[in-house]
Amino acid sequence: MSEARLLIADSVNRLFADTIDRALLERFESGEWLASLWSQVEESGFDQVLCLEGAATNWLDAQSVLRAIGYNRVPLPLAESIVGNWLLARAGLRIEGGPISIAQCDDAMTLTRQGDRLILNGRLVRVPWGRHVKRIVVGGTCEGKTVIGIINPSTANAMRFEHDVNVAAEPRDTIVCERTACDAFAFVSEMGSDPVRTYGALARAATMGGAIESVLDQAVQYANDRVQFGRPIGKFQAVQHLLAELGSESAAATAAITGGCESAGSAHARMDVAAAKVRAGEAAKHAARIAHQVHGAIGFTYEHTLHFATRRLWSWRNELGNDAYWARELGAAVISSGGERFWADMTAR
Amino acid sequence: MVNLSIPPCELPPECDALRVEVREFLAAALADHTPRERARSWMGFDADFSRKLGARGWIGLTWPKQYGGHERSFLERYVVMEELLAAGAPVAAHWIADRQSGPLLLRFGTEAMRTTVVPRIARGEAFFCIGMSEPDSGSDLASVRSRAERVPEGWRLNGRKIWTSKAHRAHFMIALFRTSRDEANRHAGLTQFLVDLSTPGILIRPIRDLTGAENFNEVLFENVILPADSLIGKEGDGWSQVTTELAFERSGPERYLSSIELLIQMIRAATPGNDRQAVAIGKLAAEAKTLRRMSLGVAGMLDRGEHPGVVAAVVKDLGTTFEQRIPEIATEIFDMEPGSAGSNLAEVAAQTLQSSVSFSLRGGTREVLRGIIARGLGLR
Repeated sequence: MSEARLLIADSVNRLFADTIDRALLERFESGEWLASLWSQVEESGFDQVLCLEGAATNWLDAQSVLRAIGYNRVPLPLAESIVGNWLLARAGLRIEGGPISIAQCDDAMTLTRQGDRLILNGRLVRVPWGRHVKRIVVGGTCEGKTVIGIINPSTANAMRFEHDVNVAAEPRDTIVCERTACDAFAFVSEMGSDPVRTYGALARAATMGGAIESVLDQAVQYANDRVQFGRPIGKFQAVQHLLAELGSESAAATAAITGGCESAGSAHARMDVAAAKVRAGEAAKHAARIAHQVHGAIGFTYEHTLHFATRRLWSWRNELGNDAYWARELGAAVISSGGERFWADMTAR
Repeated sequence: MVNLSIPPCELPPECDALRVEVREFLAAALADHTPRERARSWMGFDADFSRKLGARGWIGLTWPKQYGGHERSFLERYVVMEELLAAGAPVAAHWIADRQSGPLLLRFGTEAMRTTVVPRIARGEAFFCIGMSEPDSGSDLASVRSRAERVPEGWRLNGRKIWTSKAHRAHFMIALFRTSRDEANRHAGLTQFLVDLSTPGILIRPIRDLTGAENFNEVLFENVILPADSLIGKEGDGWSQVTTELAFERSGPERYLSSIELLIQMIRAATPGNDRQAVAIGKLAAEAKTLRRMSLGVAGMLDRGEHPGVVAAVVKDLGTTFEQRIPEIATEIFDMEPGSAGSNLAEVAAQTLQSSVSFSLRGGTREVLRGIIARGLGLR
């Protein structure tokens, strides 16, 4: 790992380890927007880790921030801001700071050009942190081309919010647009037809990787501390094997996510992101199952902190394309290339 | 904090040219190889093929030139191995010798072994088997009872080895025997020997496996006299030498690619537009990509001289699970009876389905590996 990357990882881990505890997470779950925590994040520049001027950061650097978001269960739209700011930078649009979110238009949505304005009609479904963000980076198709637009919920006309949350109590608000005008927009090429979902999914996978690592650490710690039948339960082979499985799943998720981050921005990114999201989703399933099994009843209480990670895993696994969505796309591509190309494609670079 | 991470490994550019060469060679050498033969993976045995590989310089790639090797990098060797496996090449004749016996002899063997035996391995002429397990010593390898005693001529061996893959077609065995007993330390008193399998007193009996094939064997030693210089390394150091050997045995791409021919046949047989097949194959493809990254990462660690014991166990556990899932998924997403004649998919599925139960046994059971991983996590 490069020195710059270690420095980023170290400072982000320190910030969140010092600031995020159960009391803060409970305040968040009661509906509070954690303004001072956001200020600290912004001061450190983590929301713009992929577009800091003069710093040649890439997705592997962002991976350590995204991992820390998952590991520490950071209750802020930070992953979305990192992706959103990067998309704005790639599209040549202005970055203004402040919390931002991302939204991909579905097929029912229309994007039309009126003079020099881009107009949205339809529903932006379950926009992460929609009610709290200053701007939303929207991806869609207009006149057959991929477009990135920015909408500003506080100034845009004709937007209606339907508040909702995911299983982890993170806001997921549907925004109904009726001739909503974008503040700015740009057509993008070389990022695929669906960049918001692609890189949103990569960021989600990377935060899942962090959350999986955190439940592994918690479960190993618990197995070493908890005594039954006169010894720590981690001495029992049945428990050891569960934790070994969890450790392997975590390692696999990290490997797949790193693969996605390595190819981010390149022509073959979409398939590596698909593999990352599918593999992280599979690992999340096992991580939550095993961590709860090892913790027993105490891990099922609200008082214990395990659920702050497992509820996020259950949510994130199904956001920005679930396992089946990404597996279908990857599988269809593999099938269309044919069996004789499978190995050659896997080893191509 | 637990750390099972595997640093990513990027293959150096010289690997690309080598990969192309290997592919061209395999396309010609295996032109008539049927899918069913490919499905035998690294259990497929063909002495001529191994000699051809040796002639190309693709056995003993990393070994010193003075002992018949080619002094290329560990990563170049990785590329050759993965290409052979992906093509379903019949590599069994030389595989074990190239993977672990040669490296063991180079590290612990006598100069005579290095100069006479190792070059024959590199030429694809000397084939090896591993004499570790015994009827009463499977996962609990330290309990081996086969004995070697010092005699005036050298060593006298008595005992039985079992599950010895390809012993009936090998020239040599690297055998673990007990040379002394220490009640306090069961890992002490074990010693490795280089055994020429043509030595009188050795009886090799193939054991048919459930597929009907003869791959593994029982090997009986009755007053077998070995010369004094057949001892490998140090008397009593067998346990630590075996542990080094097992790290090579467990870390390679053969621990996730054994069912690759079936996956290729599944991709060929899939109907475009069939969602169920696309989702299932997509999940397998994601796993394959991930395992290759991990497996290559372990190769990178070995290349840098690191000791990937715990993460090698992680990759083998995940890899064999993947290999076993492929035939299971095949029967879920295709209307196909494994074994029915005339269909490549069904014939390959029959082979892989039946042999796959052994994948999480050979080279260390899943349960043994999970014990190693748990210790790596700090559980004791």
